[in-house]
Amino acid sequence: MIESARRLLDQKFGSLGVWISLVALVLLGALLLVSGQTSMGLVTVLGVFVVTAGIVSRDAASGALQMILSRPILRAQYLFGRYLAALTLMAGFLASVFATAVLIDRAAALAGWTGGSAFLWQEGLRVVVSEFPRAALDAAILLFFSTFLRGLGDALAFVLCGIVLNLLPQVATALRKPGLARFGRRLLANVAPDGAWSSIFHGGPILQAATGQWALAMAVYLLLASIVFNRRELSYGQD
Amino acid sequence: MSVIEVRGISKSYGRGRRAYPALADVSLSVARGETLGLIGPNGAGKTTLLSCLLGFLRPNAGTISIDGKAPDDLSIRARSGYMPERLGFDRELSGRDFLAHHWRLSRGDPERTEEEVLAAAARVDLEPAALHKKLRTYSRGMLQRIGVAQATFGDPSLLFLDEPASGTDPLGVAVVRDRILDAKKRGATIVLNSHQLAEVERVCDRVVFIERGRIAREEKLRGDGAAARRAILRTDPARAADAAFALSADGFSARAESEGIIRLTGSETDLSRAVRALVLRGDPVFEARSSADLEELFRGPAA
Repeated sequence: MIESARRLLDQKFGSLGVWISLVALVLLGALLLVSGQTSMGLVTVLGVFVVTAGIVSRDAASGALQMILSRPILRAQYLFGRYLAALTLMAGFLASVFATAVLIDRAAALAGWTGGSAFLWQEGLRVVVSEFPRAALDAAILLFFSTFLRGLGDALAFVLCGIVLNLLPQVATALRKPGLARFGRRLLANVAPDGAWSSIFHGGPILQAATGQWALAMAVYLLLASIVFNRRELSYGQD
Repeated sequence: MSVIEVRGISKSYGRGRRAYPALADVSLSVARGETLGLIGPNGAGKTTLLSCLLGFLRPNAGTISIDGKAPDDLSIRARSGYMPERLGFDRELSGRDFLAHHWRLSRGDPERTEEEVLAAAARVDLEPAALHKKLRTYSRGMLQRIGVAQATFGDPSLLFLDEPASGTDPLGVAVVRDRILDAKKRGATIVLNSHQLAEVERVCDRVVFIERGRIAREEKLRGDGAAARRAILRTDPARAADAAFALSADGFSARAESEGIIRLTGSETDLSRAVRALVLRGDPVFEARSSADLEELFRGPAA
């Protein structure tokens, strides 16, 4: 599993495109924090995309997966090794966002710049820490899609599902279908639960329905990813 | 004793009306220490068979066992080496990192990584300087060599090779062949999928010809019951006709041609006996070549 994790880190750190994307996102996220935003929203999702999109499918398409799985390692070791590496990268990414926000705030204070919202580092830390479980769930969803979709189909499926799940309650409300709207909201809460992390890191109770939904969703996505990947056939080349 | 047992496997791609049969009722066994060649036209099912043997594909029917275990059993994989036709690995990795990664994946001692990486590169005549270059800068031949190097890590007792010498220069072909012969000497069981018939003939003990997903023909190239080989002996042109006549009189199937060439058909033992007979007669033997003529097997009608 460590070898699998190490390889993903090597792949990501060896790519200039990944570096440029992550540095840009770190700066954007830090600016959001400094400006007093209480959520990094899209920045975290884009960070998860950069780190996790094609996490399995690209290896399957290139033939690397077949070479790796011809070695004495379990498919689960490969799969979860890569997932753990993605989480490590996301943790590093979020830590970098926070560190950069602190540096920008210090630099602004030294330069005597007083505009914008006051940056409270404790609040900034809460924001980035509460982004991590969300990122972990998004990465688990992408991992699941990546076990059976080709190329960057996982990222496409993630975006499409996100759009459909978020639009369904609104469209149902506009169409005056309260039952469908309720179903849409429940579906969203169970398929992509938010987890109420912000309230938890502000002293709210950990054991609440939202946390249970998040934990259940994580377990289901990771379990499904493992089952699908274990059953997957790997073809390559021509006869 | 058989190491690999394939019993009546069938494999189709797609479902329903779109189902395309890639393998149909294929059975074969590979003895311990045997080198089996898979030959056949493109699309015949060779790679599908190799993928089933490696556990990448699951047959729709039939069974495969390797030493009595499933092909994807970790204990089997721990002593297997595999080389795909195209080395589709991370192109941004250096050759050294690629080999180190595979050494660690094959449960090699991490302390010995550097030593093993250098030894593996040396085995396939890959310059140490090349190990620091990224795989994307490698030529096809270099990729094949490094692919063979990773497949032979830890001296595996089972080797699955898919077109190992494809795209390599003559020196590369010889290097790949030498590594296969080394593995044979160690007693490894090898399954080789290749279109390079001359190479298949040089290293394989037996070949199966796969056509439209079935084993159409099978030919033993070495040992008892090996197929008749065709040979060319070259002697003094002035004495070739007499020499061929003498060989025919001794029971050999021999025919004189121009420029001192004598064509023979027989087993490997027959051929060495023919050379000896000519030498004893005082006829010079300038050249002796033999082949199983796999091309003919390739072209021949389906059994």
